[in-house]
Amino acid sequence: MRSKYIELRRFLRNRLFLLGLLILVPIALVAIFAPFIAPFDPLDLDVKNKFLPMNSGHLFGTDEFGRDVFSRVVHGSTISLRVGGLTALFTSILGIVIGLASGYYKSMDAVIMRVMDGLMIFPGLLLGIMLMAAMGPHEMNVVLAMTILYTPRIVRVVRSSVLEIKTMEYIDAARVLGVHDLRILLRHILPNCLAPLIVQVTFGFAWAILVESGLSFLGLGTPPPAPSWGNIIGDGREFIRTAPWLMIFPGVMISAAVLGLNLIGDGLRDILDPKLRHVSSKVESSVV
Amino acid sequence: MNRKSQVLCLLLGLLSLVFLSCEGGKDGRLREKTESTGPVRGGTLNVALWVSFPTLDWQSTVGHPLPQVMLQVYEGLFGLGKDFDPEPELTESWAVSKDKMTWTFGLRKGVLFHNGKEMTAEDVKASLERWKRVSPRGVTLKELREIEIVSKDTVRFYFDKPVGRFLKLILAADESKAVIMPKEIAEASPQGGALNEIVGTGPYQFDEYRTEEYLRLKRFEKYVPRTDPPNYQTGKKVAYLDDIIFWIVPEAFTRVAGLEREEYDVVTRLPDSEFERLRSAEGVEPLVTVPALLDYLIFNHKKGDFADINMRRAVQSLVNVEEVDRSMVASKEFWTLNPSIYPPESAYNTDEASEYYNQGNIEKGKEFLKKAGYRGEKVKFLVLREEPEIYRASITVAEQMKAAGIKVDLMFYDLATWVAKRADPYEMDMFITKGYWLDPSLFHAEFGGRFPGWFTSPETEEVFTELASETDFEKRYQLGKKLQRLFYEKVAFVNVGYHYGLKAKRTSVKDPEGNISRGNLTLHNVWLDR
Repeated sequence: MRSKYIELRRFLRNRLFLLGLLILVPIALVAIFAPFIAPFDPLDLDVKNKFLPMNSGHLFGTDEFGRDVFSRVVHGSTISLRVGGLTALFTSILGIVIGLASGYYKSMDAVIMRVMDGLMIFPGLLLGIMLMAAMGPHEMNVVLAMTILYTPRIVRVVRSSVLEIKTMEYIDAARVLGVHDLRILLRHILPNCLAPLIVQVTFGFAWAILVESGLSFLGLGTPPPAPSWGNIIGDGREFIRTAPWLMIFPGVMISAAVLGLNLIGDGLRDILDPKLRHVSSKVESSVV
Repeated sequence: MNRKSQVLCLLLGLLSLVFLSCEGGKDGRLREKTESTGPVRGGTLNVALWVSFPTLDWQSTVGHPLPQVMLQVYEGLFGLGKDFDPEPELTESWAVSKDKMTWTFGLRKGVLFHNGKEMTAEDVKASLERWKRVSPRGVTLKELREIEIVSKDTVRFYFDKPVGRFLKLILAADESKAVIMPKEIAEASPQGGALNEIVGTGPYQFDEYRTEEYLRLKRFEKYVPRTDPPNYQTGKKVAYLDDIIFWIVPEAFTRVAGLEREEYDVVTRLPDSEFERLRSAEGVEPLVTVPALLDYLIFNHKKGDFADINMRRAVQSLVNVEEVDRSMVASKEFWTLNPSIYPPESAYNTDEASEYYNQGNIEKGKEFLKKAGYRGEKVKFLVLREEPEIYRASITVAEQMKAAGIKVDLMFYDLATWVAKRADPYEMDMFITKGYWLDPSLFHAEFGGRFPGWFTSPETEEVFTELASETDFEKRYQLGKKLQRLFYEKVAFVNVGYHYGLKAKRTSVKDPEGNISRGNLTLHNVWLDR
């Protein structure tokens, strides 16, 4: 009980983490309850009321089809967080499996890491554009492309942790006792890789939101008329001078979401770093 | 003259200069005075285009924006005049036999190609034979049996069937134009889309092309102009400019900003939402482009759900044109409701069969869907991303179709992929594109069974055959009406709106003929007064 309390305190004492949480939680809530928050259907056309500036009926004004920008931005958060979240989920699953295998089994290491290096040669967005052009614009394709792009980074993080942990004496001990490889990997190695993994996945989440918006902006991401933030900005750029609200609000949302996630990532890194943990627990104990 | 009066004269001259410059400083009237002194030779005109060229072979493509460039480089037997009527360009005279099956053209003498060679009947024959083979419009001239070289400057066309005004129209049309090039080049490049050299007879000649960056033309010093007064694409052409550079600038906003920063002198394809601002901005002039462009929805008549007329009727009944128009462009000046398949500027414009137009009747649409036995199959709707009007019209039409229960799969592509996909009957159910037909017979290229969508019918073919040989306007008008009714009844396509394009130029670009605001850019008789 007491140790859990201290753990929580440790999280909440980190200002960066807290600030990130303060930004991200409202966005996440908006994303989850989008259908209840948005006053209009994000796809409903009302061309007689196009380009209305901000007013009480349309908080963020209307776009070139007379669609309510507020509703679109609200629904856009669902798409962005869904795409980002799925990418984070898939990259962590793939990253863990490949990273564990490559770190633990020397025979696989060389081959797997060369493939990963090969993927990392390409600048992310460029490879993303190529993949999307080949697969065609679709939300799941965006997730797939970004999973391919981001997995190598997770793999590297997991692998380097595994390389370090597998030389530990308790792993030798487990091996001597005849524990199966899979059990060693899952019970003894994986939990000890989690800290850097979680940090990396958080950054991956933020990166995915940014890249999805970028691809949508270029017309290669989530296909229109779906209200992804990148789409709203992409469609609105033609009207930046006459209807700037089309670009401002989704732009602010993207910045906020990415900032929030990065702050959380930074905070987590500080909290989960064993060296810093040592320092903070010392402080903690002196207080207690 | 003595010394005193000399000083006096000098003083007077100085005074008047001061006076004039003051006046000029006040309201710029001095500037206008110098402008009215007449054309200025020299300078480089910077034009911003919105998309790159898939090919530089004008004969083989109906694709934009090639005509904007090549109208300065090439000439045909006919060109479009101010009223969009075919007017002689490289021809001097022509005669038709009584049975309308033999046409004889006398060519202009002493016309030089950019490579210095004189144009002769041989070049015309070789060019037109190439055109007939590689051009989507040229193949509609299937009745052309032979082109005979009568003399150095006379050619004769032999047809299997009587051919009327249609011939001049098709030779003058901007899209995949029947341009004349040297015989050697025409024969060395038999394939469409692969032209070895760009050599024409126009007032400007091809200089340099850097893919996706710019294309430069320079003045053709030995150009021999016609002597009749300037008439849009033809008549007397003068190349005042040293060079013209066509920049490829895909971002509309960059084109506008470039115009205002004096980086570009002429910009094409602007969002009409910029109109009001450009009108009040200093030094620039927005130009509404005529004629109006028809935005039309094409179905796949060969394969899939829309081979069934009831499916097409469903879409025809549910489309609300006003909604599409309003979503397509920003202001009222840029769209118009018109049931005709001929633009409001055309003499053939008619409200025949308008009962099928702009119904916006979702319930009626649902009834037709029931008749067709539609079971919720996904419909592949190809959308061209680079054209904002088509893009927005497609989204609006798709929403209207969804309201009637049609499952629409909007597929967004770039120009090259879009062109490839729409040509595949298994990859396409419908797409929207735009264009204008000033004469009913010109529809034959798109609605004669060859163009994607592959619409054709015995009744319309019959009308096209009659149109080909008919020369009397009143009778042609009646045939045009009949064609419009047939198109509506058979739902060859759906008229989803008319819109006008917006271009802009700097006020330093002088265009007394108004060539820039018509259809495709024609830049002869245009000069710079900086």
